Amino acid sequence: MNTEAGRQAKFNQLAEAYGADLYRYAMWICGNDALAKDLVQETFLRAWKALDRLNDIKAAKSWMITILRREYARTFERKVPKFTDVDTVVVTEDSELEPEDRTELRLLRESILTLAPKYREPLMMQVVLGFSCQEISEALDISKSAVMTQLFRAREQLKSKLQKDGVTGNVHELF
Amino acid sequence: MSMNFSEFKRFLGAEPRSGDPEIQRARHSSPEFEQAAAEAELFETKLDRAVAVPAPAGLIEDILAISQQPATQPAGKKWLPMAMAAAVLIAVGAAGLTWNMSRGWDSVEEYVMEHYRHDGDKIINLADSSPTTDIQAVLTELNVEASPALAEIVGLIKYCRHQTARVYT
Repeated sequence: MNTEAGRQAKFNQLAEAYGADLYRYAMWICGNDALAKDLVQETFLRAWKALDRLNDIKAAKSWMITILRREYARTFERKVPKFTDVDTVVVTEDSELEPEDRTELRLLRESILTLAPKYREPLMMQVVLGFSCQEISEALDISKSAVMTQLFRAREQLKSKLQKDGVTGNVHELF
Repeated sequence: MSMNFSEFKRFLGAEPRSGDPEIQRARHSSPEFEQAAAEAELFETKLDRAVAVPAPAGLIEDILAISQQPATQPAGKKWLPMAMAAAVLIAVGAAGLTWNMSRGWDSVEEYVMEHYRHDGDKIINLADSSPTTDIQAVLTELNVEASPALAEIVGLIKYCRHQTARVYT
């Protein structure tokens, strides 16, 4: 078997399978399009260099998330310019939605970004990446029951914010 | 022992799409449980929609391009792209950043080259598009300085998060 071709195929498989999800995850974690893209590039660059160490393709997603989180953590080892923009990325392809639903969607997105990282990160692992509580527990190195508590609280906070902002009430004022 | 409503809601909030048989049994145990599960499903649909940020065009192609480059290049072939990325190198080398030999890359040149490869034409197209004053402003924000002569020849500053390109202030 051609080892280099096999390596290429393995990498391509990872890129196709996880590239977009990793970007989405990075985007929600860092809130900045440019940084998210950079994190994904850096993650795949490192994955490419260390690909021979990935023996089980089933472990790839967790492996890549570990790389990405490490890269993101490094961002904070240095002084970092302020990041501001989720709106530039969350381009709404929501024109088919009713105004009320669009408003709710916008509020939900804003609310996700205001969640504390300890709630936002496990929630995005579950919702964006499809991780189980057990996988999140392993990725974050915390107990499964702690993960479940954080996920529960994350959702409760989001629901509470939506209710507090009175989505339906605001709709009539906005449109 | 059957699950009470509070436990059920808590479980739904943590793992709303769980296929756990105990949860499924609890769901069908009363209209109150059934309604809570339906509300959780509705919320998950909204959440799915909210996080579905479209991936940028060309993202996968850019990632795939990483593997198109040889893992290592013969020394002689480094010089052409190295010259193109010279401004980046100068900025990294002279602006007070230091390089610690470490994981994956043997030198700052190799590291810059890896970035040049995956950034490709984007770097060349962006270079020289910023006035010198902007470059100084960016360096100031990062707590580093460049002499006017150096700033004059810097074509592009790429913010690098790699721990081995640490800023010493």
